[in-house]
Amino acid sequence: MLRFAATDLRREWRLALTQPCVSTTFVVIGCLTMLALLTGWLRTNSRIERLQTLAGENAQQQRFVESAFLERPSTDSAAAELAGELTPAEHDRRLSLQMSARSPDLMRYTEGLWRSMLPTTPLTGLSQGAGGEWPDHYYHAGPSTTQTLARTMRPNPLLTTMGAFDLTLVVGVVLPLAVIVLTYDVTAADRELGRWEFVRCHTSSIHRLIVARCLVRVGASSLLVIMLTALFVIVLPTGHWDSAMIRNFLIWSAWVSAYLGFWAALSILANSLKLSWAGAGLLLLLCWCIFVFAIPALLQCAVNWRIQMPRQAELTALEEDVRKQVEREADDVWADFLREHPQIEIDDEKPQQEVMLRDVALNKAARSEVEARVETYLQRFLHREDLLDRSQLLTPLLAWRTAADQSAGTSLRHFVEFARQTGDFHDEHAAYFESKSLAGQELSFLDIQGIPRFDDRQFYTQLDLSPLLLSAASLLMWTSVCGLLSWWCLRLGTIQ
Amino acid sequence: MLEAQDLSKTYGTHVALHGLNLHVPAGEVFCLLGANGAGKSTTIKLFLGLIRPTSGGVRINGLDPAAQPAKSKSLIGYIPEQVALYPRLSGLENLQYFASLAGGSELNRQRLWDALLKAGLPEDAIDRRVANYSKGMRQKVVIALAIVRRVKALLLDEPTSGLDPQAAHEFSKLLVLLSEEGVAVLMASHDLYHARESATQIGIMRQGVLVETFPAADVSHAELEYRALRSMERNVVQRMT
Repeated sequence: MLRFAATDLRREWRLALTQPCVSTTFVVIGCLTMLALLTGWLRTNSRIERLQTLAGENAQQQRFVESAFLERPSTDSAAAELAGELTPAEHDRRLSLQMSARSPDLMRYTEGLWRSMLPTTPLTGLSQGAGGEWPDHYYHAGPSTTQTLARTMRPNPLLTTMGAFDLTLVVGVVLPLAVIVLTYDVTAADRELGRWEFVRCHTSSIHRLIVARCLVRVGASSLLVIMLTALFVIVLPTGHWDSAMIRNFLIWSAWVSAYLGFWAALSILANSLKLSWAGAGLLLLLCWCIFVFAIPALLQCAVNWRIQMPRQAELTALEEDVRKQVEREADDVWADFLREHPQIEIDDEKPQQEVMLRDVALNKAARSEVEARVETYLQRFLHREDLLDRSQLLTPLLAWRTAADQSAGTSLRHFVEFARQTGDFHDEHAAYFESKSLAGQELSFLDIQGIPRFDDRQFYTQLDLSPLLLSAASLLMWTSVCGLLSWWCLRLGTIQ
Repeated sequence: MLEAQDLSKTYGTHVALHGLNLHVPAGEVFCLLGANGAGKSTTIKLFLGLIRPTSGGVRINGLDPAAQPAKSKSLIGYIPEQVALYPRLSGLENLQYFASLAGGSELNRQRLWDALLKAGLPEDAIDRRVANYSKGMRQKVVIALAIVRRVKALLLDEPTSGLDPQAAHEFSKLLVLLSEEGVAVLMASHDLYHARESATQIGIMRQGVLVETFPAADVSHAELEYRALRSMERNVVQRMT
């Protein structure tokens, strides 16, 4: 292997560099990669800016709520301090929050408190992922559960090969084309220029020669893309690096190489047949059309037909239906609630207490019903993902996209996981206020400071092994099939 | 060094070579003469291992090219009729490329340079792109390759076709030089003058059969011309009938 690298690859690299189409193709690959990285960086950067804006708004709301607990002179001075900077809308918001600050029920149902967003990672820009429109804001303290699923769905994003311009598109669709341009004529050109016999009588292994010629060109393309990407994501600040990110980047790099390795194997096969340069080129282009367009398009139709994706309007309607149903059964819900909480004593002299507690009961019932149905939607997402995972074996393009989305943290599974984490946090947030509401307590300054915060960092390290393993199996299978076929063709002497 | 025993090759129903027996010892230049289709190039390709014999076999220093391709290829050099090198590489780079292809190891640049000079390539052409070379210059690069590789046998297919008399003469001298160093040379040619100038042994082929062999020194140029033409005429007459 070392000797192969030291002599054959080195020799063929020198030869490749003298071919004008090779250097031109490398320049094109480099430019497209940079362009894709730039668009990814701009996308990530805009999300970072939105995250920072959200963090600022959250801090401001926290200050607004806390200002309700300050001593009167301090409140006035804080208000005066803030007043100069606040817009009329912010001023109204401050007043509203100050009024709600001591009531656990009001705080529980105040919309837009401590919003959060799917966090960015240094690798986010590498793949558009499961959808371009990730949910912007998660209203943890809001009344709507289905807002968690608020996103614009694209039809089967993993299968959308010609979607937004990102690195997954460049590597998945454009690079194989570049590989074809680089390798379609590595033997045909020699044959047609009358050099092939002379070349053959100098080498003991034609297979080794073809492999070296294809590998050196594909390897250089792969290295170029990986190096440019590494340079880009390290130099440009798009998130913090940790061991999980480095691992994901290494996985991404390995899969780029493996995916291009498949195309190299296909090229080796085409070059192992006794074809003219036009014949080899056309054969490879046909394979490209089949693997990149035909099979994914067929899969898209099949998966869309089998599993429909929920729409936002459908989710909103669901929530409204559930609320109406719960309101119709309000008396039963209230009775159940009182049975569940025997410690509650209704004071007839405080009628607003019963109104508030009824509201708590109705919302809790509605939420538990909505959550159950949302979970079925999430299950539908996952079921769809499982189906797509199995489809990876049909084309290496899907295998590549799955691995890219997994390592960039933009897969549909990541979205589902984030939706679940957000849902859990929603419950945690509600439970925090509910216990105080049931105990009839007013909120204190310490209570406000102790409000649970959403930990979005736990999301970073998630990496599903099963789709990755299936992806690796798919790439390995296709590469092996091409490798074995080319070896068989050469043994049959078709190259002569 | 080069041996063919009862060597035959057929393409479908066409007999390209029939029962060829040949022996070219080290230091000998054996020239195969004959009309087109006489089986000269087929013989060369069989020795190179580019095609398989239908029956019989060839041996290169006792090795069967089909059974031991790597070892047998390491012993032979080949000069085709049209020497097609990589036009964007220089003479030196082409030599480096093919030497590496043949041996798998990196060769010293000075050694390659010296081999090119020894083959007669002008010094100022060594670093120039091969695209600007004449046929004679390209052949010198290939001769240099044989020198660098220290081959034991050299196979040539119509090496002087398209060369001007001066270049053909220089080429003959190079062949003689190589044979004096112990290289066995098997050459297929139409060029009677060149054959007599460089060969030690001449064989005349007709319709896949080696009809006669004789030492080049035993015949005058006129006699050689007569024998070759007679062979070709028979060939033509037989084809016409």
